[in-house]
Amino acid sequence: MLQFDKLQKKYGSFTALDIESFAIEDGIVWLQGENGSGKTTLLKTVAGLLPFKGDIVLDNQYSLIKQRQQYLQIVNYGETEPLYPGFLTGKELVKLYCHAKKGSIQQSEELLRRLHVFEAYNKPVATYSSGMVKKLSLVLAFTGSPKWILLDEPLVAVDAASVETVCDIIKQKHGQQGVSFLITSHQAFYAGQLSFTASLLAAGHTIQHTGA
Amino acid sequence: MNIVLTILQKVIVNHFYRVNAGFFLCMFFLLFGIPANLAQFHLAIITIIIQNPLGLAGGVLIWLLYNAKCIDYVVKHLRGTRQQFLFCINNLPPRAGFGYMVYVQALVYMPVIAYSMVAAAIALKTGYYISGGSIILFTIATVLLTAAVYLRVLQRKPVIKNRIVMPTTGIRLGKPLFALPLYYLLHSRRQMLLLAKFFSLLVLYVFFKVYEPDHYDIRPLLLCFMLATAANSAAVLQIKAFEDSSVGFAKNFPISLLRRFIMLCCMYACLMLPELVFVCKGWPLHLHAIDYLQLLLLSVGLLTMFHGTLYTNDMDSEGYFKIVFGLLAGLFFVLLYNPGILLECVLLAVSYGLFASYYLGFEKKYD
Repeated sequence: MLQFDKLQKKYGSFTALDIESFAIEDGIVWLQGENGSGKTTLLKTVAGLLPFKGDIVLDNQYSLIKQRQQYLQIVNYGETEPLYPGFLTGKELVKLYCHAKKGSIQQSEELLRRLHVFEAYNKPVATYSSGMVKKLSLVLAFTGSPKWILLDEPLVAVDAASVETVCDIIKQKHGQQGVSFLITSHQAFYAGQLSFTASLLAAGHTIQHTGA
Repeated sequence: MNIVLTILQKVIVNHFYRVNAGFFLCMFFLLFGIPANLAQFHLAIITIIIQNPLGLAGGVLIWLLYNAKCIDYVVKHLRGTRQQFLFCINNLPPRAGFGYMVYVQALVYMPVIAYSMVAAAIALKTGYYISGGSIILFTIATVLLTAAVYLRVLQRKPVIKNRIVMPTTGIRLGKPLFALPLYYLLHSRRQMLLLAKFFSLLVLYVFFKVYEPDHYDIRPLLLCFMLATAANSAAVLQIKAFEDSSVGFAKNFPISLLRRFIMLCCMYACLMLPELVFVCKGWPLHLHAIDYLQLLLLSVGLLTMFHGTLYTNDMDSEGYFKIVFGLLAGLFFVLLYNPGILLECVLLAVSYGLFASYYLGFEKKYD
């Protein structure tokens, strides 16, 4: 469970998030909201990429403020528009992530094969198309043994065949390893593609449940 | 003013001088700040250039090096995704496009044009017509040919028909997280890095050649090494920009702040490796083994301090170099009092303080 406690995120004088107290239960959670409603800010904040006021606690055990390292070990993040140094190869990035997140290189390679980007594994990221970079970023977000994976628009730039694969991987990770997901997507999922356990709406600087 | 000229000036020329502010400040300091008698110093240089063929060759070589820097910058900029809109200049007649590129080259090449025209004028006035004419022709040819290169880049045409394939060893070294900024400099900022190393090593070389102490004192070398370190300050700016743009994902890695700071120190120690090796040349006259650690910590402390200041404010390169010069001026006097290793420890402690305070709370500056 992800617990937000007096979470406040400001950009200068603009308040992007102001969440008094809120809990997100484990599962596959769909975070919806209009452009500029604070979805990406929330995901980046939960991923530890943005400074904020208040606290975020995972499973009543790991606080992002107090146990940052332990927390980040089990919370992974996949960005909407991932940016990596162009001179690094896919292989080097996988190695780097596996080293930091204590993940298995073989598993990441297998995921890359499933997403049809393994052919470019040894090539610099600068030569990748935007879809290939996106797929690589998804594989990197699945690295290690996370409890939560935050995916910001995971299906953007991904081809139709791979959308099915991404949804399968999410279902597999959740079903077999108990990994929870917080996903933002403007794209609608059809029945059976991905079954969400909860749905949230970001609006008015806060989030609220809208049902499963 | 013509809208195309205005945009080219804003997008390319102004940005060129902003990005290279450190380089120009350093050159200005070396050429106009250090010499006691400015007029005599420059007259001597110009005399060597116009009276001696080897001197002329040397001058031309330095001007070509500067032009290579201009080409590298402008070509990269014209190919950049943000500058793709400049492609619309191709809709104008080629002659107009060429004229605009001449304008760009003339402005970025202005320091050399100004100096070479003064040299040419003196050459013609003192009767060295061949030298004077050669300098004028060289300058005009450089501007026109370089403008033609820019135009080809703008037209998305290959500049060189048959590219020379550089031999590679085929060995791929691992790229640990701390070393990524160094790979970035080697990959994308090679010329800037080369220039920084050239100047820092030149400063040390001249120091060892010129200064002969009658008794051992580490302070002159410390001051000189501080200058050599400062020559790398432009690299710090590039490293921070790279950190913000391309390594943001690493904030999600479970790495403690202290370890991140140690990684930063290791990276800057590696960056200073050429200087740290070269400085051994000063042993035993200028440097004793016991003081080597002080040099290492001074360079790392100073560079991490420069890096730390960039966290505290969303400053441009001009503001950054003002802080760098301010810090150097302050440290110059502190070093004269010979505080020993205490100074380096304080530098590192302050750098860590800035890092720990702003690395994760980087938006403090906006509050």
